Amino acid sequence: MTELTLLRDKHIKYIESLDNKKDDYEYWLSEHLRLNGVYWGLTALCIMDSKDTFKKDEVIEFVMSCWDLKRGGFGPFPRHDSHLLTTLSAVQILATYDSLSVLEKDDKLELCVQFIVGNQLPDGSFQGDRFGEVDTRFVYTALNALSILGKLTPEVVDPAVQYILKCYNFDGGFGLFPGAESHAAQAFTCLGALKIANRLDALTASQIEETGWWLSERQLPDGGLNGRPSKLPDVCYSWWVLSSLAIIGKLDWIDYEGLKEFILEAQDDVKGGISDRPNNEVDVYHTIFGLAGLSLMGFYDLIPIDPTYCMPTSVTATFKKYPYIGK
Amino acid sequence: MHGIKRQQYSREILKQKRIQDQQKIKTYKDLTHSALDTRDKGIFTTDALQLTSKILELNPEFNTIWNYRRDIILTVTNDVKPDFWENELQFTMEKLKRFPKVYWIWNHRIWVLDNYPNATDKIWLRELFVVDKLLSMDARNYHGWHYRRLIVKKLESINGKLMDKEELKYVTTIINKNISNYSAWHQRVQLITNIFNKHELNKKEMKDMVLSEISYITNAIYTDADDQSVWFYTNWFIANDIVRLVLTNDEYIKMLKDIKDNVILINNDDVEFSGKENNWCLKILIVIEKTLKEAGYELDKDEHTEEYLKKLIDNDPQRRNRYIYLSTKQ
Amino acid sequence: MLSPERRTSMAERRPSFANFSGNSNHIDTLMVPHLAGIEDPLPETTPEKVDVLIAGTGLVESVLAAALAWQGSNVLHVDSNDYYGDSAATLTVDQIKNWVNRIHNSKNESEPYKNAKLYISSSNIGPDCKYASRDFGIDLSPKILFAKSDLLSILVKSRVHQYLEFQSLSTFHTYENDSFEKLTNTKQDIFTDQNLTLMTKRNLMKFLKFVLNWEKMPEIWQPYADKSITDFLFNKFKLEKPQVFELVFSIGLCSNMDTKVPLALNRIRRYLVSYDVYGPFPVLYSKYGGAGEVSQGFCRSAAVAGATYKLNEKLYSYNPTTQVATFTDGSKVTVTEKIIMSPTQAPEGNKHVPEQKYEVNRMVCLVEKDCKEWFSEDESAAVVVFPPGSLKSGNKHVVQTLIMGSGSECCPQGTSIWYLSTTESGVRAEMDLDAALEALEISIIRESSEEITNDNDIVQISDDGRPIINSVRLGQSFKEYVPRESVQHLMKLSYTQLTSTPPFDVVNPALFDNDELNNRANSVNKFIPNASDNGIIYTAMPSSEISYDEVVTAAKVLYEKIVGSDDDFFDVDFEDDDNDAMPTGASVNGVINYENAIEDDEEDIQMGEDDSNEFVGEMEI
Repeated sequence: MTELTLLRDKHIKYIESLDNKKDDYEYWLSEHLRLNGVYWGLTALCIMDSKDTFKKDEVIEFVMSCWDLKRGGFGPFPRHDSHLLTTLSAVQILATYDSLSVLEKDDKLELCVQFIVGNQLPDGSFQGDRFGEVDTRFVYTALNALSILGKLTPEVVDPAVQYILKCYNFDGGFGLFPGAESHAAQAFTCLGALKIANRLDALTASQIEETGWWLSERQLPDGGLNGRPSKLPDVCYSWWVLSSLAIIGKLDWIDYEGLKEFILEAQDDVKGGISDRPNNEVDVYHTIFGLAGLSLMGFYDLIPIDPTYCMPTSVTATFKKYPYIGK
Repeated sequence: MHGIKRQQYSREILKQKRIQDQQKIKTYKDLTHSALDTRDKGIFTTDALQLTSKILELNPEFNTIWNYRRDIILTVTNDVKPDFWENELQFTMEKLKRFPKVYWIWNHRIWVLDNYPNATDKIWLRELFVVDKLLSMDARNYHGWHYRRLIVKKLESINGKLMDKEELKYVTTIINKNISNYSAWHQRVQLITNIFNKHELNKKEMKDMVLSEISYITNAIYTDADDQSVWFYTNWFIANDIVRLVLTNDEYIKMLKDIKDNVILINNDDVEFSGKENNWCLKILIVIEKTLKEAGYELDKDEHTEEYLKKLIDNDPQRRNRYIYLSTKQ
Repeated sequence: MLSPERRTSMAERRPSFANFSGNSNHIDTLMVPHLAGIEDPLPETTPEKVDVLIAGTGLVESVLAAALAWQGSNVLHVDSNDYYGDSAATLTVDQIKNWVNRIHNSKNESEPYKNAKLYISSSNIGPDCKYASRDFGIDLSPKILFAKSDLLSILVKSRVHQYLEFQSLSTFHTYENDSFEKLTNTKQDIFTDQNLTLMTKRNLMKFLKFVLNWEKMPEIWQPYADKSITDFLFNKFKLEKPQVFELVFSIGLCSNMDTKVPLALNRIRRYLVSYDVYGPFPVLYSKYGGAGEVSQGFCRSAAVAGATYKLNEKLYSYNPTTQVATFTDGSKVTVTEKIIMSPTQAPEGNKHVPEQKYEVNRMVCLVEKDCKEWFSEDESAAVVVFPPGSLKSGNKHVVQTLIMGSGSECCPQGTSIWYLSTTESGVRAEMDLDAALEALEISIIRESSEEITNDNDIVQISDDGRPIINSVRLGQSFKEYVPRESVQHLMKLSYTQLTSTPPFDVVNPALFDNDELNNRANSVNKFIPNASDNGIIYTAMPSSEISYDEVVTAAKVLYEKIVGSDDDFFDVDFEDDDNDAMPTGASVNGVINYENAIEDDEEDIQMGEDDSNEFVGEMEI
């Protein structure tokens, strides 16, 4: 058996090819994810030090075409409604290109902040848009985007932190809602939100140890990570679990070699890209999270990734740290 | 792609697919454009509603179209027939059956119920049956569990009556079906906590409940000592405030020692059987020893945490750094 | 000419596949034309030349015929009977009568059936009686189909399953201490069972997990490799007798206490991995008749692929030099490749039929009781196992019983068919079967008696208000109950069937070896002067196995003999497969939805072997 290695060039080609699928019905059925897809693809390219594979001007033009004139914020595709999830993707892409200044035109920055803050509910939680779906994912997306924009305030942050703490579970994990079952992706959003708010200290040391335990038990004998007990492993949890462990400083509570093998085995050695599990169909989503996991573990000299923001550390280093001192 | 097998398609098949796709793409784009056009013209009619139905049929994840649909409903709501809202529930049900894990559909169903005019408890009670059905198809679907909690909360506030006890019965049947159902164990924690915190139980009832829970756990760890669901639950149960409050300290220590003895017995049985220790037994024994000490019980020579950690470093190498961390903390 | 006295065939029940209801998909109509053809097959002339002649339309022969026909061989498939199925036939009461007569009058030195005894209640079955002969479909080889088995895969692959209707069977009773115990075989049963000790629960679960992957844990079983399974379960897993018996005899369907560990582990696993494949049951059976239906299905498939069928056609002799086979009616055919023949079809003067040294003793009773007490809700069949030592006769071998109710469409309302069988031989076998029959009778009278079901102790009310009838309690509390009524037998048949396959084993491939090295008297290549069957390969008679497990193995071995390799065994390329292969949904493009992304839509981890999500088509269950 030949030793597995990272198929960097193939993955770059794969991501490059994603926009050439306009003859596929599925391409159009997934319009509602297009902006997220661009963020995933761009970040994956950054990790592989191949940021220039996408044409910056075209990407920014596309991002700006997703601006929701009526409500502010960004939708996933031109003419679609804005949503917190896609607004974060837009902000992340712009920050990655060091182009947040494009928001200064027509008060977009202010409108964008208003859109995000306007979706916060009295209990500190956030709804994804005006129709009321509440989920800790949206707390994270809101705080993350505001943080990138340098617009966090105690009025937003403090209740949000209180809300996150209500989602902490008996097993050390976090749910999407108070009382909801722990899920590795929610651990990421909740810990990420606390980290952005600089409020990890709201959890006691032993609470964090419990979190680390629960997360470390996500690793299965084949090296892969699952999202909840008794579930099959999936490459995307390489990110959700690992980044969470990284945020609480317990990254080495799982076995790197096993996880690396699992991710590498999920690569498509013909057309590039990474899938959820070996031999399944690849997609950009698992490609970015597989690569981001490998980067966090320090393999293959990949560009370092920030576990809180899922963006290159070179980009996140420029963000203003909350609480803002000496304005 | 989640759970979809990777395949190589022949050029011929891909070509055929392209040809078929052209027509589909045209239909889809035409529908989408005309829906967004009518939206932008501010048209909120039942005809436009039909248009959104068609698109959502093709793509149930098109949030913008769901939003448009809701705006239409809010506009036409006074002119619709009484069965309109029933049909809307039916519409989301068809989608949920096909796509039980799409957030947007669950979200729409909740929105519909929240806006259902004069919704009685019957409507919400029926939702409980609906979610029963969906959970019976996938007992770990956490949208389903989340939805169930929302429905129960609603019913409790409508009827002014707590439902935790009934829910605990439900959760018990689910666990009995499969003791590895972590979602159900999770829910058990919520319910037991609620029952103690919100219900007025007398001392005896509380104690009976704790005792029956201990025997339930014991039964479970004997039935499957490799299952992390049961162990995480045990880990919570032995150190939670309720138990400490209900039992006297002596009773509490006795409970811990009894569980400890059972866990040791199970572990020894595993060693005898296969020559290997049961890692989960060791992990829980560490917790029990810590909890015993916190309860003021002197373990002295009986303390084996250090030894358990050493064994775990070797036997559970994936998590060895956690054990090293714990042993340096000792 | 097909016998007019017969059960309706599958094509007669559903004359056109285009019209038949049910959820079977439209592809049937395109690819598998219905085959009214074999109702009236009869090309008046026999083909001049074929690649392969197969005699006997039993299970193995039919599967082989279909496999060869689809592979492209020119197959002539004949049967000396006037019905399909041969050793696997499903027969009416009158056909059984004729069958018994034929055995009594058989001049075949190698006749594989003997000691046939038949009682028919002529006041109940016959013209102008309560029941007609054709109301019953009686299997000569009753079989159950495990939900995860090679035959089921072949049924699906060949699409023969579309000819058949399957029903589930979930109830396996173990007879112990004069009562019927229902199995405790799922994690749920074990977890919730109030009667098991904690340690027994643990040991039982430990074993159930082990057995699913037993090959990978040699350290556990290898020290017991040559020991019996009962020894292994008692000593290694510390299980108690009721659990051991349940595992070995009901779940494993083993024949006696001495079954060796690896063989028994495979048999126990077979049951467990089959559970929940299609639902909460381990096995299926085909409606309207068991093995008879399945073999008929394969014949149909073979006919679609071009095989020629003739009934009432008996071989007179074969000349391997000229390759000419002569039939008793004088017609002839040149066979360029091989002749495959069931021992039931052997020509007079045969000398090559393999020695049939093993006995299967069978008893079939048609009973005027619906026996629904033994079935699960919505089901119409059950298995009852009598472990060694559980019967008055002091049985050393197991008696296995398959009960079929009227829902199987094999018998009318209010009646059932009891199939009993044992690998015990001679007089002992007779005693064991009689004792088992008596136990069944007493039990069904007890359980179906009106006075009993009124007893509060037996009918309990569950938490959600539903009455639960405690079957275990039934058996125990009424042990002393003396039945006042007796079971009305409509028919009782017993016979001995011989086979070359050892009990509870699959067919031995060496049986078909035709090299001289084997040096057997009946070796195919050995030319015996005056023998009528030089050059003929005989198939094995059905073994005592209650499942279909030996069938595919046996057919594959023969297929390989003829074709040279079994690589393309049922490698059927249906023209419409392209549709299935067409990528659908979002599987081609590289975009994922964020909802599913943050959600885990991966499957649960299954206990047991690697989950192969093999597409199994739509089953009519």
